[in-house]
Amino acid sequence: MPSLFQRETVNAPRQIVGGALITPRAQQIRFRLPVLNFQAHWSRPVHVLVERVDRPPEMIGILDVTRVAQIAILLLGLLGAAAIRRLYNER
Amino acid sequence: MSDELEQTPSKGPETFYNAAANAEYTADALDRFLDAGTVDAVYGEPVVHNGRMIIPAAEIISALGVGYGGGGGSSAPDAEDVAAGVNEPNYGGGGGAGGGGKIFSRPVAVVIADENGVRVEPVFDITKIGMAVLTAFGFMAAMYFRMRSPRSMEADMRRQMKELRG
Repeated sequence: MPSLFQRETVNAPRQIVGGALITPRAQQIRFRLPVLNFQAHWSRPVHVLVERVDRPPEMIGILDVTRVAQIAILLLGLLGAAAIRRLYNER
Repeated sequence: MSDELEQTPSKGPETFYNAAANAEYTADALDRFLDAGTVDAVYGEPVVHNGRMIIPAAEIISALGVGYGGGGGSSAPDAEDVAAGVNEPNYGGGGGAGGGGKIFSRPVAVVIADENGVRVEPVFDITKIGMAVLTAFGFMAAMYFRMRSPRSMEADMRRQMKELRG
């Protein structure tokens, strides 16, 4: 029976550019509710592995700037709301 | 019409509703639908231009739910059937299924590789950022107007009066 929650990192097809072997990697998170016949997948790029003959392998991370900015702005909004409440209560 | 009915071969309830087959079909449908979110979809087809390779990267969220149900019943042959020479029980049943799902995809970054090296350029979605800014202002505005409401001020005054008396 498949597990309820599954997480794995998988490799995309490798590419060779300018003497470098590039392996893009993605993380897949799978959530499955067998009773209700429900499944959800979340796949996102995590990093690119760059391998060269003359250098050690390099891992270049992929940052989701939009997601980070969204979370930061929403947290600031919540903090602002809490600050307004506190200011009014202290008056 | 009645002739057609009489010619219809008699079948049991298992013909109308097969739970094992439905479960297998549902699992297969779930797997096929969610295959859309594999690593091949996360990284798009590489584009080579002027000796530079560009690989688009996206985030994919997919969800699917399926439900099904059914049932059947039987009854002993009535007098009319017996008179017509039919002695087998009558069977009837039905079933139904439904489901819904969504696949959501959003560009995250672009991987650029050339002779000089490999770099990752993030994709900045200004619309989503704008929505987040509006929501954040919404939180603050809602709190501001709530604190300025007469009910809130009345509660403050009552609390202050209580403190003065105490």
